[in-house]
Amino acid sequence: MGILKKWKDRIYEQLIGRYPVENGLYQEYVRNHSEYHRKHRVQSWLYLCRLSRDARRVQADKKHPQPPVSTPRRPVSQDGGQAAAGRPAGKSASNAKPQAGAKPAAAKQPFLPFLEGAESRMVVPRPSPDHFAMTLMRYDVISFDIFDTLLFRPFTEPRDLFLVLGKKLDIINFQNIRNEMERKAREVHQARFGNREANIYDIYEYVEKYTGIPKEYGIQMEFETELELCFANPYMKCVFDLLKSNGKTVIAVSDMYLPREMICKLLEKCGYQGFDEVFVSCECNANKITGGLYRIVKRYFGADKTFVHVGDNRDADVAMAQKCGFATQYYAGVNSIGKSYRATYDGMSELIGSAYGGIVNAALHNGMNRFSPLYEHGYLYGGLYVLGFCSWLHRKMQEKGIEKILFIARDGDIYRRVFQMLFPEAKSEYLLWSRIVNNKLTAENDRYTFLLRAVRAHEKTGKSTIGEVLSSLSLDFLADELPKSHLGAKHLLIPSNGRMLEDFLIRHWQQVIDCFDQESRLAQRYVQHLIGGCKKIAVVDTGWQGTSLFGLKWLIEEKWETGCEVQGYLAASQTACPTINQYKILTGELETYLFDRAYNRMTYDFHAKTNKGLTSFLFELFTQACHPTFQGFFEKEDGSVGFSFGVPEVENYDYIREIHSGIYDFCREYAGRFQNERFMLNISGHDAYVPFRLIARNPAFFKRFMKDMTYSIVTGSSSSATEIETIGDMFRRSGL
Amino acid sequence: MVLYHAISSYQILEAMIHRKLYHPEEKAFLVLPDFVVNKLPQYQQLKKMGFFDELSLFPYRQIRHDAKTLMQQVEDAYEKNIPYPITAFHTVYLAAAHFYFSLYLLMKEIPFHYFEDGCGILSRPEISFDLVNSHTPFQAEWAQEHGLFDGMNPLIQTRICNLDAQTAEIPGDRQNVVHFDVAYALEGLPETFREKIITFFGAPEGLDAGENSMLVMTQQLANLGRISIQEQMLLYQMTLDYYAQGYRLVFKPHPDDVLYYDRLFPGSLVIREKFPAELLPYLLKTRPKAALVQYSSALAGVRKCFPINIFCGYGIEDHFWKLHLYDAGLRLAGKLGIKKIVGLGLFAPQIENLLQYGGLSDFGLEVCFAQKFAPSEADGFYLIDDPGGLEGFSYEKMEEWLSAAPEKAVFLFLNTQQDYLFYQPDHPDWADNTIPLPIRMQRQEDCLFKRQGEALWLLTKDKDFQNAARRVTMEKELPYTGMTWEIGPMDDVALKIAVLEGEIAAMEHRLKHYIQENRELKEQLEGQEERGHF
Repeated sequence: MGILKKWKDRIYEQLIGRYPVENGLYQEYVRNHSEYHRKHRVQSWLYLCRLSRDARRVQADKKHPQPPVSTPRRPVSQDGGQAAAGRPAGKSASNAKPQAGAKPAAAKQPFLPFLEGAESRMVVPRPSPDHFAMTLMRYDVISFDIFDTLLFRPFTEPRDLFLVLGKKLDIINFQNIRNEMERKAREVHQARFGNREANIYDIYEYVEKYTGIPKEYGIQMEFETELELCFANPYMKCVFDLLKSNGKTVIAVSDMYLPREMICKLLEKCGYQGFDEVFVSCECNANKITGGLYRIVKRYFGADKTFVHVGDNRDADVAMAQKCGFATQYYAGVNSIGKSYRATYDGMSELIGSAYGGIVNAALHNGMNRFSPLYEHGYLYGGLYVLGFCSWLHRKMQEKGIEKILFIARDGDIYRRVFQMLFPEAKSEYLLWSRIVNNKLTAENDRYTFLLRAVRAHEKTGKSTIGEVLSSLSLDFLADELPKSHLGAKHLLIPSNGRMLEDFLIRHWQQVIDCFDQESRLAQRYVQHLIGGCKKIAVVDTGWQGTSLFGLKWLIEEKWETGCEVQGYLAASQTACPTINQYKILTGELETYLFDRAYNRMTYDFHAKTNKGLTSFLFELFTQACHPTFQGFFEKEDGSVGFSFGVPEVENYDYIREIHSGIYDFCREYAGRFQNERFMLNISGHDAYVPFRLIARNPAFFKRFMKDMTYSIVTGSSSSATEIETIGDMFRRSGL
Repeated sequence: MVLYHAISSYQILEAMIHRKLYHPEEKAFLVLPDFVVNKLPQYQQLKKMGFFDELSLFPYRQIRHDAKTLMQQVEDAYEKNIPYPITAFHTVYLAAAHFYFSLYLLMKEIPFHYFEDGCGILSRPEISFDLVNSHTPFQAEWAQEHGLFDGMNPLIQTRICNLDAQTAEIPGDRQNVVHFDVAYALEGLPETFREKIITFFGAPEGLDAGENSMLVMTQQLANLGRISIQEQMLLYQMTLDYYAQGYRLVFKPHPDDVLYYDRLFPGSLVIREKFPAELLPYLLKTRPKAALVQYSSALAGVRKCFPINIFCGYGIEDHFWKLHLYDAGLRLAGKLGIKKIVGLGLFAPQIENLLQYGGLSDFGLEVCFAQKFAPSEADGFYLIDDPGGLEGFSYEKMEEWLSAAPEKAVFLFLNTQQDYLFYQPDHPDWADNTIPLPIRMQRQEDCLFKRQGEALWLLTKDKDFQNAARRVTMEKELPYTGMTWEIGPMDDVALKIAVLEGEIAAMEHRLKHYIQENRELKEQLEGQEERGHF
């Protein structure tokens, strides 16, 4: 079976695994049509072959450009894949269910604006708020739609608010119940009054009848939830303020079941002071979609006035308004703009996916701000994972009685900043550490890894001399001994002399350990100072094997005997050899948030198999820091502990700051929106990864916007000029 | 018949008064832009009230900025909208000659009289150019090429301007320049005619600015796309925090500026009616004690009406955010007993305004602005912002100067560009002579000022001066901006950390500069290799 699997993996890799876009499409298809895939394997394989064929054509076209090839049709199951995705049919972004026996729909390759530039600049450029306001000022009465125009909710679908309400009322399936009761109430209203403008009181009559929730209580909870979660569209708020300041008559007009009084409170809470009037369909017994509400507005102000209406619904806010004699200004909804590019519909769980999508769409597309591609990279693709990771760490702290978290440099920089923002009362430190320091100080306990990192990693590049390697490990004093082993300090380290160097180091092992011992004592002073008096701490890194975590655990618990227990947490674990750290995970010594070999396996597989194994590298771009690699400890003249650093990659710092700004702002925005609903910070590792998966399928983004960033080819050593290359070079070298 | 062409309210007023004074009995035709219907919906009153005999709208909104079709478009527009051939007008006056109506005259080779674009602008044609260029570069280029910003086109018979309002040398031959002061002329007109003008513009009479008020005439910077709307808010907040404390604010926004000054500055009076500023003296019950504008041209016509006139300076949008750094630098100098300052790369209007109106007059400071980078061996106090634009400047020369400077010379770097000019990598003891003075800020949540990590950097070999500077304390509250900044003493540890942080930032900056230089040289070399130069 093992051999068969191996061959199967190889064939898969050859056919499609090495084409990240097509691989992503196929995996998405399998995920969303799992039942169909199980029963119609041959159809799926045919689809895989078609994807593979087209991927090869695209490769060939790159050399000899030809007209674009459309992606092949994929087989779809009866429900369009909705059951597998967990959504009721008819609620998703895709459209009609295919008929039985019908030909499968074509999978369209969407325009990906982030490959051209920042999404906030590329997709729907809006006029500046003052220009927009001036356009409206020509009219006597300026009317605004409310929801998705003046006000946003932090969800992609407005009714997802009922998911949060369901939690407050502690009723499972509340969203569907609430929707059903609203439908009922509207039907009854239609029968009684000839229109469907039921109000919230009507709706909760039925909610009470079918759930037992007292009507007034239910209404109060729903309204409080709206008050808590609704926020002003900053663009429209600015436009509103400009209009009011210039003495214009401004009204709000909404098809809504909330009564006018509640709507007014909502608007005021969101900072809209001074509407001349608010018209709500449930009180006027007329709505926008049939035009009745517009006619009421006109009668109210006088038909001799000129009117303009601003809204996001093409039918209700544009077509019908125009029919009723209003000029209109269409304001494309932020969620309708952003949804084609959101990972929300790529397998995220509904509530978190909706919250993530709602927040990023509102930030990017309201029209007030334009961001850089790198800022958006952090905001869109890194923010959710960092937020979820920090929140997960905090829960672990509480569950396991951990007193302090040490975030390892350099990845820990952004983690700690976000962690401190979210949980200011929780103790944490930024620990200067690195693979090279870990390698040296744990050599005594892990000789193999030491030799692997010190020698074999360098011999692969063939760019370092043996002398440089020794120097990077502070083992210069051994250089004089090299000739005795037929080695020279000026010899390039290559595979043919690599084993000889290893033997040399092993022969001088005690000297090596003694050399590191002094540094170990300095490290001990430093780390113990950070630990303080804590008896149980956690050490956190991004990934991937956990060597630094294990190293620190050994040092703190065993070598230094501090009496402190260490728990290790990684964002994710993925190693070239999958079995490296499996027992550590099974014993609980190491826990991962996003995935490891046994947890969130599909995510693990995607991560391991896409981009020719470079996905980890791309992932780590979220968590760099604006200081050089930490090289080690030394004793200063006054006896205090000194810290030495490598070559600063200053050309990266502006990139890093932009990405971190995006990550931090997302985390602050999301946490702020749900400050009273802390359960919304319980983001699963699967959900946290999905946004990154979308961008990882499109490495062209990294190639375009980060090609000048540099990195050291060999980690765990000092960076001489010959060992640094740019991301652009890496892409060229790897053929990505 | 005479023809007048005008675009802005000021130009319309100018045409009204000029016609009254110079062609009262002749038939006068006025050409207005089609977009006047939004700005002055009552424009038809110009005919009904007898200011002009006839008027037409020129369809500027329909004219495309296209070199190939422009002439044909303009010709068609004239023929469709002006009921008389151009030769029917014995005299033509054009204000806003950089608009395409003048192209018709150029095509027909009709001489005309040229009104300057705004009061005092003839000597600063680059201001008009920049304003037009910021939203229609094609039109700006065309007008520049035909001498329509400086009035140098050969078809221009006379250039009519307010000579008293010019702030620089008028370009070209002064012989064809004719003085015309709109405000002065307005004053000399019969009151009934003035009242008619006020009525036409719908200007509100009896405005009560209060006893101690400041008139602020805004510019439409965000509307022009020069800065964002948030930046415009911040510009006025910071500027007024420094110059308007104690005054009641009266805003007269530019007609195209719609910013909500009443919300930004509670208690202020905002005059939203659109009328020329020249009418203000006749509308205000109590005249403001001071006026604040960006460009002097905005106030040129009425500056005599206000005891204090503050001009923020052309280009203020690029410098306003440094106000607290400039203020801190001047205050520091003052507190340390300095009287004379040499300024390098400073924005002069901002310094002058701070000295005069920013509460610094007690220090008796005098600032001399260096016109080029010429390192001096003399002792002195040097206030340095962005000398990169000074002739003769280079990083190396700055470093040489600093290292060779005499004991008593003091250099105060504002470091607004975060370029760390005080950094001397070849002189390891430079840090011993450098004192960072970090600016700590407390901000309200909605404060628009977002910059972080700012500091002044004092460099001197004089240890006594260093110690004195370290003991200086100052603080300034900016209520409109919603922040307070302060500088205060630091202990030795904090000082050392600040120096190290500055050193790291300086090194980073320098490294990036060398990396970029290296990259460019490499590209040049590769380019030369490809071309076979080696």
